[in-house]
Parts: sequence; structure tokens; C-alpha cells
Amino acid sequence: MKREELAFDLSLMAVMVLMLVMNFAYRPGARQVPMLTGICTLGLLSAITVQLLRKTVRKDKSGNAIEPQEEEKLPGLEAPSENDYAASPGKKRKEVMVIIWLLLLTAASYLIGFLLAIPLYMFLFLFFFAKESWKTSLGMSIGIFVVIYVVFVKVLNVEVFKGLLI
Amino acid sequence: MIEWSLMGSTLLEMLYWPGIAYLLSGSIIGMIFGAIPGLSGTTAIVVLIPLTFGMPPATAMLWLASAYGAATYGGAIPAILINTPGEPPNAATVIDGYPMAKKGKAGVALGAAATASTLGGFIGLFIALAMIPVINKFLMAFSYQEFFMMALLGLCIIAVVSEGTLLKGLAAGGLGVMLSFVGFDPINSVLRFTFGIQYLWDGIPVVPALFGLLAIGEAIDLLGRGHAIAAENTPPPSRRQVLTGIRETFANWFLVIRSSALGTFIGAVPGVGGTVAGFLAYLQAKNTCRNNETFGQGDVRGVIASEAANDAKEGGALLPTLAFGIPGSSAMAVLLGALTLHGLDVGQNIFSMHLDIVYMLIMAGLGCHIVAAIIGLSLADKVAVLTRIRPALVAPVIFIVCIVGAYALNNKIGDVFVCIVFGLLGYEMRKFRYPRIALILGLLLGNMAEINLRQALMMGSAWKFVTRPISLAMFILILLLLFMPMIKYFTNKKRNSG
Amino acid sequence: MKKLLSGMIFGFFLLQGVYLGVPADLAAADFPSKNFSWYVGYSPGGGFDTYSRALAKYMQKYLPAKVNIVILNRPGAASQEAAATVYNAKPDGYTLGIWPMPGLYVPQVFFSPKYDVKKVTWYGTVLVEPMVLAISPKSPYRTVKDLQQAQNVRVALTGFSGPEVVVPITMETLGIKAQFITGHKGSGEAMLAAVRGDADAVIYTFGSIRKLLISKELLPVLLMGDKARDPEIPDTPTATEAGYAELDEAVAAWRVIGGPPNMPPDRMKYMRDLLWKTMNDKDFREWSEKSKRPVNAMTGEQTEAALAKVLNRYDSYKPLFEKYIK
Repeated sequence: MKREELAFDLSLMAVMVLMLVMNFAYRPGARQVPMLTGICTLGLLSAITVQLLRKTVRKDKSGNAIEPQEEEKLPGLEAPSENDYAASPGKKRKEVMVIIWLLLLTAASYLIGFLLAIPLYMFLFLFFFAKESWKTSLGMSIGIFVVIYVVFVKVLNVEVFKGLLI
Repeated sequence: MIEWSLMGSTLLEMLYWPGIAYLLSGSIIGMIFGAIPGLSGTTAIVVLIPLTFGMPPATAMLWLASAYGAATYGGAIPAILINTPGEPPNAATVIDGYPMAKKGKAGVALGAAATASTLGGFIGLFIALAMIPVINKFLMAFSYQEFFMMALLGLCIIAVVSEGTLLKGLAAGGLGVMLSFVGFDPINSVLRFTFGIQYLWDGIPVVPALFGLLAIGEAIDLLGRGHAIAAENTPPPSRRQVLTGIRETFANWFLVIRSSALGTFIGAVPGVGGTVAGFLAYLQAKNTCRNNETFGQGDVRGVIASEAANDAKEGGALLPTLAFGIPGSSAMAVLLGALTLHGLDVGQNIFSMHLDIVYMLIMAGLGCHIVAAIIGLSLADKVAVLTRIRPALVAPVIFIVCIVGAYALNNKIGDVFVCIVFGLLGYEMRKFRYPRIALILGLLLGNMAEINLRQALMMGSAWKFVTRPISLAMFILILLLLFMPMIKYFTNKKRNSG
Repeated sequence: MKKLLSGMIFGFFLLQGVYLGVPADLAAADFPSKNFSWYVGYSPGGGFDTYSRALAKYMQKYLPAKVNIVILNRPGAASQEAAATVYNAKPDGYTLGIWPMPGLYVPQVFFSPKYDVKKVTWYGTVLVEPMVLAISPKSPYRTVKDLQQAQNVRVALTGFSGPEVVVPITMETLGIKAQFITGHKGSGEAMLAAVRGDADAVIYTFGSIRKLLISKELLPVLLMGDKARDPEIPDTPTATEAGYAELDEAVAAWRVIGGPPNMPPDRMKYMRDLLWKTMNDKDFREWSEKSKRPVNAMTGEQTEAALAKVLNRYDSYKPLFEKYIK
């Protein structure tokens, strides 16, 4: 968990650095405010990363990394405790699968268009991932197709994306 | 000044056949458009316009205004149920609305939202009408300094929103602000951060990013968790919940008035954008209500403030439209266009030439809120059942709605990619406790703040920020907001240790 | 049973593919037989959008019943996106757009977007709108001379795109030392800035600025692109009267309708005739009168010739734009 968070923090910092570098090439008028903002944000991210690295992995029941000093200084701004985010490996794997399915949906939409990809995704996702019955899967699949077709194609005349291959 | 007989006959026209049919159908259409993320009240008007060509202008206005007015409530529904605002102005409603749904109180939230929307719409219109004599002076008082301060005030909400630590909130806000700089900078005529991609000329589109950040992350989490939106031991939605929502709204009547007033003023000032209205009202509520630690975790007052304000803002948007012919919002622009298409010269003083149309607009604006409230409230407990359906059925629909909605906005497949990218970002942010609302606020307000800052500096010295009364007032407010928590803490500490 | 069902499921998806894959119109002689896509590079409600919708409405009577005109708003990059979409569409006559000219020429020169206005197939012009240079009553200036003698005239605009490309041209030609305050969200906000006194002057199309002129919240001092004074602002001289005839030629906001390049001649002729008939339609003209949206219709051929002249002139303005855009 800590490693992932570190990776996330570092990627955000990398984005900031990239933007600051690009920013340098712009006219003075155009680069002042982004420079200021970028540097501040980078500073904040660094502080967060340092905070993350320094502490021992000690999580309280809310899964919130406690920075004792922060808590004393600014009450009321702490996050309310919620479901534990120390995700169990099962949960995490599920989430990764969901993301992969989502990316597949996107890719499929791009390649074969919404009207084909969406019902297909719906059916396959429900049947294979969620283990729903084929009746439910097919029903939802047809249902979503009908709704999208009626609302978007007929009523709104929006050309739902046709896809590159078709 | 008000021609009561004309007002009365307009009201009757709306309530009898066929007026009532248009009022009802318009409101229903509007609510549906508002409730589907990706569609909005403005879209509803645009779709209906060709169908109005055979109608008399007053009837057309009745239909269009009903649709538009009802949509702003419609947008609250997905905001509460699936953390996705149906329209950008509803974004502030998710802050407390969705946590309420998770606690099984979706019915209360929906009831409160419906009531607050209706009251807000009414109050907004009344305030707007009362302001007509002073509208010129009012609008002239707002210049670049004031716009900048307003944007800054909006950015202060970042510090106030609680979903993670302050450091992370500020970082997320900063990231959002940086992202808002992507695109064409009109002040210097340069393209920034676009990597040469034409698509990014206008910057990162906010609405698809909003969908991605808020909805997709939640949907992924839903599937991971394996149980429905509403937590497991919560009671099912009921009529009683909805009534509680209504009651709570009336109990907080002063909050409703304050938020509506704020919304009206923000809506009246062109150039700021109505999306801020909900957020600023939320900010105001959090800072003026007692026991405000519950804000952000499902406090109904957050929903009330946000919804009242974003319905009131349309009343405000009427003012510059009527006074200068300059539309106060994109919906006003479309309504004006519709009037033109019906052969009306909207360039002239609309009061003298087409008073009946103005009255109809007002009547419809009021009427549709009532209709939307009635429909919304009677269906609220049924709709809230969505929060109890198992995620396997709900989540894929959310994904699809987001993707199609993102595309439907402007027919750009790029918007879909933005939605997905921000979806993944939102998922990660959620996991690591970075407040997403902070990023959204930065994205919405960053560039605007910069532009107004630059314009203000082009125009005069920096002293103007503190010598102009309204600007100064807002500046003091910002300082108070930022330092109040600290001051409160220290005075408490002293009191406790003393 | 299971096999039958899976067969049906498979068939369902297969059928979708077939349905979606079949190309729509094949017969060339059968034009038009499906809907037109009319692209507008601005949000609904604005001037371009309104004219497009009005034209589309009255065009229906000259089209077969099942053929509709679908207006698609694609506000993006100051109308460049809509232009690019139309320009790169199939030249089969079903895609057209309304083009703000010569506004779209300037980005073409500096930003290499995906269109070339010199190659667009022009169907006709619906309006060549004059522009007004107006002064804020809160400023110390009252005539063009005052502006010319001033040290720094603040001009509000959204940016150097669309009809606003004429602003630097006007200022340079008149010899006014202008400070451009860009970044306003729309023409409305820019005009309000002048009404407030934050800016001294603005230049906008007569249609957009009319209401403020009539209510005296902005004071017109020069009318450009019109042959004679406008009866609604009778005291305002035209550019030619003031001695700047070239402004009358170069400054005007054209609303032109055009389609992709390389159109087959028969379809081009059809579209040009269709537009011409619509613009001269009695009901359309009546709408124009009532809603105060003037029309000065030009045919496709006339448009081509006239635009070529204007664009030539704009080529000579290139160094001027370089100052502000790069």
C-alpha cells in the first residue's frame, strides 16, 4: 500500500516537473502564474511524499496516515473515517479486473463503435465477471442498447461513435 | 409597475389547457435531461426548439422554460445517488449528497434537494425581480478584481472540503489549477501544455473530467466492495425519509434564503459561471452553520445550500439578459436564440415590446419548479432504491453512462479518453485520500482566476484589489475563511487550558 | 435449448453489426436522400447558430420530406474545430457549415489547423455584417479623433479570432495606440467591460452591439463595412466618409455557408441553388424583418469572388497579426 502510494505521489510530482519544464518556454506573461502554482504544488507533493516515507507504517482503524502535528494544528480538516482502504488482496484484484474491463470497453468503443461495443461489454461483463445469469445479462444488454439507441440516436440525433474499423 | 392583469392572464394561460400540458411535459422532459449525466437543461432546450416552430412564442417559452427550470433539480438525482452531478452546477451537491446515500439516507437527500431547489428557484426569481431597478448599478460594480476574488473564494473551498488531509487537498487543488492552464491562453495568445494536440486547444474539458473523477472511481470501488451504495445495515428508502428531507429544508429556512440570495447574485454577474454558485453556497453554509463538523459526511444542510443556490442562479441570470441583452448563462443565450427564431426582436427593450413573454418566462420558471418538486418527491423513494441494487448491475451502467455522456457533449472521442483517464486518476485519488473535489475546483476556477488577475493588473494597480469595496470585502472574507479554523483552535485551547 | 439460445444471442450481435455496417446512400442520382449535417462553430443561441437554425427551418420546404437538416454545435477553438470537421468530411453534399469569415483565415495562417478556406466550396453568403467602433461613455473620448490623439486606448475583446480579427486592423489603420484586453469569456462580457468603463472602446458586429447603442450605453463613432449610414445610428459616419475607405472593404463580418472541397459539380450546384432559394424565400425574409436579423444574400459564385478579394487583402495584414499572435 505504501509503495503504491509512493508511486502515485511520485507520478504526480513527475507531471508537475514536466509541466514546469514546458512552462519555461512560454512568454513571461504566460508563464508566471503556472510557475508559481507549479512550484507550490510540487512543494506540497514533496512534503506529502516525505511524510509518507518518514513514518513507520502505522495505520489506525480509519486507514488514515496520521501526521500528529497536522492534527493538532488544524482540527476539523481531517478526513472523516471511512471504510478501511487497506484493501484486502481480493478486493484489489477485483478492482484491477474491473479497470481492465473498463479499458476493454473503451478500446472496443473506439474500434467498433458504441452501439456494438456497449451491449457486448454489458453481456460479457455481467455473465463472465459478475456471474449473473444469462437472462439478466442478455436483458441488461438489450436494455442498454435500446436506451442508448432511442435516447441518443433517435431523439438527439447524436451520431454515436461508429468506430474506426467499421 | 407590474401589470397584474397581464400577469394574471398569463398564469391562467399556463394553468389551463393546453398550457398545463406544456408545463407538465416540459418539466418532465427537463428532469430527465437533467438527471442523465451528459445531458443538461440547455440540451433539452436545443432539442425542443425545432418542435416549437409551429407554436405561438409565449407557448414556446412556456415549454422551453419549464424544461430548463426542471433540469436543475434533475441533476441533483444522480449527484446524490451515484456521486455524479447530472449537470456541472450540481457538483457541490455530491459532497454531502452521496455520503447521505451511502448512509442509507438517499430519500432524505432527494427530498431536501427537491424542496431546496423549488424554494431556491422561487426566491431567486423574486430577488431578481426586486433587483431590476438597481440592476445597472449592481452589474457595473463587478469588474475584474471582483471576478478574481470570487474565483479565489471558490478556490478556498479546497481548504474547507474534508475528504483527506489539508496538505493533500491543497496539492490536489494545485494539480487542478495547473491542469486548468492547459490550452489556449487568450491573454498572451499562446498555447500552453497542449503537446501539439489540437484537441487540447480549449483545455481539458471539465464535464468529462468530472464524470471520470467522481463516478468512475466510485463505480470501481463499488464492484470491489461487493455491496450496494447504501451501507449494509441501513434502512430501506421510504416516504418518511422524503418527508424528513422536506421538513429539514423548511427547518433551515434561513439557510435556504441565504443560499438562494447568494446564488441569485452569482447568477446575475456574467463572466463568473454558474457552477461556482453551488460551491460558494456550500462554503457559506459550512462556515455559518453550527455543528458543522458533519459537513462532508452526509449533512443535509450541504445539499440544501447547494441546491437552493444553483436553482436561484437562473433567476439571477435573467437580469443581465433583460437589462443588456447579454445572456447571463448559456441557457439564457439559447432562450434568447429561441425567441429570435420565433421572429421576436430581442434587441429592443423586451419589457415594452413583449411583456407577455417575460411574464410567461417567469410563470413557467415558478411553475416548473412546483411540478418538478411534486414529481420528484413522489418518486424519490422509488428512485432511491437504486442505492440498494447490487453493484454488478449498477456499476457497468455507470461506466456506460459516463462514456456515452462524455461523448454526447461534443461528439469528440477525445472526451471519452479524458473521462477514462480522469476516472483512473479519481480511483487512485480515492484510494490514497486525495480530495477529488479539490481537483475539480482547481480545474474549474484556476484559469478563470488567472485571466481575471491579469486583466485586473492590465487595468490598474494591484491596490485596486483592496480599494474597491466589494473586492475588499471578499478579500477579508477569504482571509477569515483561511485563518478562522486556526483562530478558533487557539481560542479553544486557551479556554480549555485557562 | 442452450444451443438455441446461444445461437440467438450470437445472432443478435451479428445482426447489429450488419445493420450498422450497411452503407446508407449509394445512388448518386438520389440526392438528397438522408439528413444533412450542418455544423455551427458556436454554442446554441448566438448569431451564427440563430441564422443557421432559421435557414435550416425554411430550407425544409425545398427538400424532400424525409430529409432533415440537423444542426450540430461544435464550439471549439473559436470555430476552428467545426471548420475542420466540415472541411474533412466526405464531399458528398451532406455536410456543410457556417463559416465566420475572414475570421477563420487568420488562425489558418498561424496555427495550421486542418482546413484551408481558399479551397472550401462556398454555397453562398447570408450576411455581410458591418461592424461598429464604439466608445465607452465613461471614457474621456467622444470621437475617432480623440482616440487617435490618445496615448493609450483600452480595447476589450475575447481574442483575435472570429469577427474580432478586424480589431487590430482597425486600430492600426486609424493609427490608434491600443492596449488590447483579451480574455473575456464572450462578446457580451467584453461589451460590458466597456459599458463599465474598464475599457474605452470595442468593435463588434452591428447585430451584437445594437441594443447597447440604442440605449446609449455605448457610443458609436464609426461604422465599417456598410455602404451608407444606418438609420438606427444616423449620426455615425461610415469609414469611407471618415476617409478610410479601405476599412469599409476589409472590415465586416461575413456569415458564409460552405462545404468540403472537391465537390462534384452537380451537388455543388444543387446546394448553391438550395441556399439561394432559401435566402430569397418570402417567409425567411419576413422572419428576418420581424426579428431584426438582416440578410444580404449572395450566391456561391459571388461569394467565391468576393472572398478571394478579401483574403488577398488579409494576406497583406499578416505582419500586423504577427505582432499580436506570435
